[in-house]
Amino acid sequence: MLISIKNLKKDFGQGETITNVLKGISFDIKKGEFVSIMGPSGSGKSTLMHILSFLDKPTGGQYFFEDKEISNFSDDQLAELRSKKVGFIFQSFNLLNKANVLENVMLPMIYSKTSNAERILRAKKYLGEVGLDHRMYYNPANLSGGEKQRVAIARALVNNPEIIFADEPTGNLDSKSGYQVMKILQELNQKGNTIILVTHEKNTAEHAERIINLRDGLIINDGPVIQRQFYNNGSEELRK
Amino acid sequence: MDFEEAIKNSYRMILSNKMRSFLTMLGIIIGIMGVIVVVSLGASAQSLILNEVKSLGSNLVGILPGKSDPKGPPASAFGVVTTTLKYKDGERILKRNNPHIENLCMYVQGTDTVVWNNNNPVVTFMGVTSSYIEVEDAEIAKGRFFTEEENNSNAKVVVIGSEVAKDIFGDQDPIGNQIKIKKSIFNVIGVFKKRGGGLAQSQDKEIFIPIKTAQTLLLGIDYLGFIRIKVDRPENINNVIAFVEEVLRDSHNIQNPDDDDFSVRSSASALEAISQITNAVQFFLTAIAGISLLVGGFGIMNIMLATVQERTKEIGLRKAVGAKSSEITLQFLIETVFITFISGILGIILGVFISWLVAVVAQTLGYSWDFIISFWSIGLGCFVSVGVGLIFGIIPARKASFLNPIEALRYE
Repeated sequence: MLISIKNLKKDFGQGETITNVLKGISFDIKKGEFVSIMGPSGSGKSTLMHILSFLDKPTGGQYFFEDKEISNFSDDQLAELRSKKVGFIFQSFNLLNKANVLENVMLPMIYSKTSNAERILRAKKYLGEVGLDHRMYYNPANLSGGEKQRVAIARALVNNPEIIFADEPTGNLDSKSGYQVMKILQELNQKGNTIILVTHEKNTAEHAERIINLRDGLIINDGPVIQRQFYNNGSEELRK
Repeated sequence: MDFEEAIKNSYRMILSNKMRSFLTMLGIIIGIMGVIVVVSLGASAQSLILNEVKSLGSNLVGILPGKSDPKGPPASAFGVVTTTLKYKDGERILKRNNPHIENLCMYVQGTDTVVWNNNNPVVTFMGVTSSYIEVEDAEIAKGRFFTEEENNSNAKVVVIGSEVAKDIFGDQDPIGNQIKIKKSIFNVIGVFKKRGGGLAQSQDKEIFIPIKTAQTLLLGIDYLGFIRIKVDRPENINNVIAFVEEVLRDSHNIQNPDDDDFSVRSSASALEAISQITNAVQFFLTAIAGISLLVGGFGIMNIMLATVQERTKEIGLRKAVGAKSSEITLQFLIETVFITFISGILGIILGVFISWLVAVVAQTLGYSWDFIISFWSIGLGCFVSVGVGLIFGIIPARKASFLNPIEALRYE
């Protein structure tokens, strides 16, 4: 099992001001799955994603990643997991405007101790895969929103991660660019990548195979998507 | 964290905010520049003084009126006139026939207008005994120096320095001309060869008359300015000093050395006295440069703290994609050191340039000023600039590494 969490809890604050954001969550995610974590704001979906992606530690319960209990890992061990096992796609892209597109994509490889030559090779390869090899030396500030998110996807892929975390990846995009991003994610999933998507939009969430629905820190529903959305506004194109 | 990436980041940071970077670097630049200039000028001044003493002769012993610390400046340096040293003191020393004393010259000094035709420059005149030529190894270019007989008979004769000759007579031959000093007419009987050098005193800019003439006719005094003794070999200097002290105490009826009304120094101890003063000045200026470095360091720290704040999101991203806290610390530390090191290099370049400029100006003014840059001062500049970066960079770097990636990513 890739991910297995058991009765996961997360509290913020202390004493009387304590807030229980996650109140006991359990599920498994297999390698190659495309899962949406859905819920309104305040449901705890972001906190859950932070824990799953090694950015934060749970205050209770267990988290097995590749069958290893990691809830007691040190900060440096978590950093190592982030470097080798996950790729991030953020709502606000989080590209460095002082560096060009190629350098942005190479950023994670600095911390995975990849050789210089290999960095350039891989960055170019993944920029090609998201169709941006002609924008390599552009400043990210001069790209459209859709292009920015595709740069971020390339950046998420360069270390061959086990899981790609996408946190509201279409939130800052127009619908056309949004579909394009979802299409890339679905294609990556078809190639075998595990994808965990966090969103509050039902339509976006339905691009996944499975939706975990959160409310007030608890799972209210966890099941397969009955009518899956594909990378056009409907399902027709793929079915053709 | 790799080094290249950190350097590239620092480079970007400096370029993306040129004005701010420059102002930040200024404190370090000035501090390092100060260190280089102070060390260089100090070394040049020392060598100038050393040359001065060497040109004077390292086997000279000087006798000054009034008691003073042999390593400190003489009382006359502060304008105190002491009248305890007399002509007969010099005569007594000579009469005792110390085999190590080759010769002895007595001096008085004054400044007055010298008139010839329509020229009337103000010139320093020295009243000396006829032994001056031998004691100071002076050379005559034209004419002759005056004799002991002329001294004893208050002869109104004058031997002039090469520059004074040019000032008063231009291209004309001074020999045989007459100049007027304080209503007295003096015959010019000789001109010195150009000697060069000379910081405090320069023979080229002075005129020389018999000491007794100067005492009675021009100054109206019966005491001496100072006495110089030429010793046969440098190793006998201490011997001669002890001898002179004994003679003078005897002559002045002094039992206790604490009551001395004179002081005897060698040119070496004079050098030491001057070195002490230049060292003190150097120390003081270095302290000021140090303060500039300290202030510059705090400036850098301030800017780096602001930078960490501005780059919160970047730090969050770096952590999210796998940077360890130690790698973030190292990155910001390298960036700070890079800035201070670049500042240090600029400071060194500027410092060398200014030292060179001073040397060029001093040389055009006629001083035998050497342009000296020691490698250790450049090494020190590099070392200190890196050190300032490490010391003042550590707090901002630690602050950056403590940022929580989740909050940092949310930061707007």
